[in-house]
Amino acid sequence: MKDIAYFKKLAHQLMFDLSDDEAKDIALEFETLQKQLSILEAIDTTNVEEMIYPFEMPTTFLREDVVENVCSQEDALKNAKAQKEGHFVVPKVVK
Amino acid sequence: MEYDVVIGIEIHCELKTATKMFSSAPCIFGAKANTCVNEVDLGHPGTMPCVNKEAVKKAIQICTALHLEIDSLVKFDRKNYYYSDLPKGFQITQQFHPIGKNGYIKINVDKEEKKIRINRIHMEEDTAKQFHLNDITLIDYNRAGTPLVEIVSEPDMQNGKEAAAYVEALRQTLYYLGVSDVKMEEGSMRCDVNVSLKPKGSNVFGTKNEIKNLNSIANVQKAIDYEVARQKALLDAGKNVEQATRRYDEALKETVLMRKKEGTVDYKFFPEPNIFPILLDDAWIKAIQADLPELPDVRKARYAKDYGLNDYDISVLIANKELADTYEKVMKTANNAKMACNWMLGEVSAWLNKNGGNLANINCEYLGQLINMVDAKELSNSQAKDVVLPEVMKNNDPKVVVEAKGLKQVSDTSAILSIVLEVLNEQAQSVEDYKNGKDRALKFMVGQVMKKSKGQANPQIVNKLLLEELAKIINN
Repeated sequence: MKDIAYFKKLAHQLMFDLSDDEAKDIALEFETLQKQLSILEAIDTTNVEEMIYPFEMPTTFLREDVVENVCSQEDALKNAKAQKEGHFVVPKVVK
Repeated sequence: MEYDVVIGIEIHCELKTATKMFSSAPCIFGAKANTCVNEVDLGHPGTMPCVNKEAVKKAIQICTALHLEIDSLVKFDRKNYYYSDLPKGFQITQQFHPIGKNGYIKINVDKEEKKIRINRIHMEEDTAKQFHLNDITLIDYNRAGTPLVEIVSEPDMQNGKEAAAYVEALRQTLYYLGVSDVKMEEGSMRCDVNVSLKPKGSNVFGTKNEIKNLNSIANVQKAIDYEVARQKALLDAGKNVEQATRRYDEALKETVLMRKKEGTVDYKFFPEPNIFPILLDDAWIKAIQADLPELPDVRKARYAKDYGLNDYDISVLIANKELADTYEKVMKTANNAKMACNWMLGEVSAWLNKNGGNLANINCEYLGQLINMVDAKELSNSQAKDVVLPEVMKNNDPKVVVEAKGLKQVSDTSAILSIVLEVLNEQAQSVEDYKNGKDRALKFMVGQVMKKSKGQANPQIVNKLLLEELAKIINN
């Protein structure tokens, strides 16, 4: 079973934090989920074609090539932790 | 040891559309950072992709021009990777069902035609442009989501020259289709090359190296030539070629290791759940195919048939579509196709290179008239080039210019003959020198006739008449 520390670390990596209680709840939920999935896994699906979309009918819609919705630079950068000359700034990870 | 070289090429080409592949934000090269984006491009939660009709149309045009079978059921897949150049955490591409399969393009190398097979063409979205500074990276999402097609060749090329010819043939075709700017230097067409060597005649492929992001056709050839020599040296020394990704360093003129491949990256591809399969209307596909712009090969054949130009002239003209378009307009007026071609490739191109200016602004009727005057020997080549062409380029009527500057060349034999006789009379010493075998004397007399005619006499006729008259004098 994944422990509380695992979920706290995962949350932290995804840029948010969990309280001990929240992490405990998630750990329990995760365990339940895993059990449910193991039931599904037990079903023999040999020769059963995968179903990817809820409806089998293909669509036909294509969007016309017309500019409609554009963000201002200010809006685009609103969530950025750091910005410089209109760019998003992130730590450099390439050598 | 003798080796077979095996080269395959992947080309990414940005499509010239007003909006992104999956969003209605604009595609504008060189715009202010992060001003051509919306929530879809920025990967905001809850946003949904919506496929651009024009991008699909352009992909169909490309597939048709390159003889691919088109899959009318358009499906997309997710390529999952976590990197800041695509904020969604995945790229939408067509991994399992490319729009086109099994095509080819013809190339010409050393006068031999060869078919290079194309394995597949698929649609996808471009990534953001990143600027790596010392310890931070700046991201501009304007390019993120720009429609791309990836064109994957079969490993049918055997040397740098063939690879360069393949990229050039594709570049020309895509340009003539009008589907892309195909500017390698601006990145609207990008080229990754796979190179491997195997013992001559062997059926087993050697270990390949991928050279990424070649930014010019010349560099495609140089990088491959270098890489082939590098791998050959390794194999000859009994060493192994390690699978790796490399880049071409222009200054060093070498391919440089970027990263070794430790197994293939698992992108966990799966069908894109947010775009249902789209069934294209067959009538729409057929209409696009029926209305395809003229392709370079068709134009080449037409120029040979209509204008009787040789292969070399045709290939140089065709390589520059705007120049070829202008030539065709000039040919509505000009009578001599070969002469008009020489003028386009020579004087007109030289003038534009030197003075700047746009082919589209040329008055093609005036240019055609000028070429006709030269053809009819009404104007000498040098006067046409030096005096009249600059005026024609300023949209001035060549007939008016010739009239105003008194440039009309005299080809009337009797008028020239009287000047010739006059000069022979006056220049007894030169006649004597000519008799004694001094060739320079003839040149001097031609010069005198030209001077007396104020440069208007046709120099060829002057030459001919002088020789005839001198022969008469000598024979007497």
